Amino acid sequence: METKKIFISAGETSGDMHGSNLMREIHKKNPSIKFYGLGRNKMTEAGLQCIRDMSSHSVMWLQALKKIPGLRKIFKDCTRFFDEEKPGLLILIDYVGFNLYLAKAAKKRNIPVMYYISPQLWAHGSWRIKKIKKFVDRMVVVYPFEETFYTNGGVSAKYVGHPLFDELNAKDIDEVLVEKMKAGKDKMVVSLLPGSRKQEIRTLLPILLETATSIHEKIPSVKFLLSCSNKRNLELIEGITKRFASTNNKRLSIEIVTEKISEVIKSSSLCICNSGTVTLEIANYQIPMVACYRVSPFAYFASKPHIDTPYICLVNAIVEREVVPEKTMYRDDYKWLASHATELLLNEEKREACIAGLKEVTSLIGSPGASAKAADEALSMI
Amino acid sequence: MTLLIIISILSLPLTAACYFYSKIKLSVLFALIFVVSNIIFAHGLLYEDYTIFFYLLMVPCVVFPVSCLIAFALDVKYGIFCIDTSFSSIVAWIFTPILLPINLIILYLGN
Repeated sequence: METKKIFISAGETSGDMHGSNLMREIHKKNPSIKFYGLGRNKMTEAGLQCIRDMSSHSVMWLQALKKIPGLRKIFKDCTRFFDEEKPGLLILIDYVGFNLYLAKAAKKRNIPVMYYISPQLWAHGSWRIKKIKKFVDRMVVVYPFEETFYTNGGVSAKYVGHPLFDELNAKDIDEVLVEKMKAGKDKMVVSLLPGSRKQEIRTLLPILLETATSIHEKIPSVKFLLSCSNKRNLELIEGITKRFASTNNKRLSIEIVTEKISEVIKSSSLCICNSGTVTLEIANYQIPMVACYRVSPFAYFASKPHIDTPYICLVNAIVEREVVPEKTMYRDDYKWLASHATELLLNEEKREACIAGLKEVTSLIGSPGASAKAADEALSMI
Repeated sequence: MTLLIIISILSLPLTAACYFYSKIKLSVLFALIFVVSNIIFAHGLLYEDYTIFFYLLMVPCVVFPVSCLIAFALDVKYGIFCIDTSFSSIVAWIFTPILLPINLIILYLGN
């Protein structure tokens, strides 16, 4: 079999995970394919000949400005590789700010471009579909409504399902830990999930702690878990929690659990989280949740006309109705969070309705096999 | 001059309100009124005696944000740039409104 080269680019941690799964599936179907590109440790473990490690290039908002010189260098390395090695396919995984430049460069060199894990254009800045149409040959999308969105915009798109469910299906849950964290059948457990990015944690965690205090005042028997998705964030999370306890003089017992997000979710009666991909993981375990997204008042004002969806929370966007309470906050509205959380904890009817909605979500996108289907798409393009 | 000051002051919240409620065309109209009235305002206050200062004020408060907005409008229409140009509205909201307080301060100091 002829050796073919695929260039693959992922900048974020989640992109690295999905990229590594995709690479393994492609390898299963065609072992002669060689992978080059940009990724992190998981993709390198899966066989990527890494041109540049992207571990220090995950950025949001204004931080991105600081990274521009470094990213320009990486871009030059990539285009040099395109010229010298002529890969048979370019696979881009999310990270649109950088990856669209690569798509443009590849298109110039007649390299077919596949985009896996679409940027959320349906939520914000839908006019950008014109750029996708120019530079991308096929969108391989993970939400059912994205296929319609791109097809209507004249872009070839294929829905494959969400690769997160491949991960979750293959995951070994520590049931002993789950039972231990549940602390008895009658005890309600509320978990706080402030996200994985430091910036998100800094803005969201203080609100979650206030919310927990407010819930505790109404239901004193509730146990609180605080999920730390990555050891690197532990110091930050502990610091914020300690500062909150000392400045507010509040005696609230919260157990911080590191790198056990699935166990934390599974042991919970309710999750309070940000509105990103974590909501899908919570939906997978059918745990009621309240989702929020905290932005500055100025960012809220400036971005409002560019928001094209009534639902920022993915779970709600999938079924196009409010299954779980969600709010984009421009101030620390912990009272809103606490009142919805308390309602979902105490009102059995609302809980049942929420769980039924989450079952609907997982029936729509919860089946595994996304990476394998995406691999088929990639191989059909090379 | 009084009418100009009133127009300058009123057009800013009107622009903001229309923008917030996604009435973009109306927002652009009020923004134009705001920018033009403030340029005339600044011109009347500064141009004769402090010409350089007038131009120094126009570059960050008018030329730069308006250029960004034009680029954004072209991007929305034709999809030209790889970068997400929606940051232009943030640039415009940071830099352009500064023109009004500067004009009012200069007017106050002049009196």
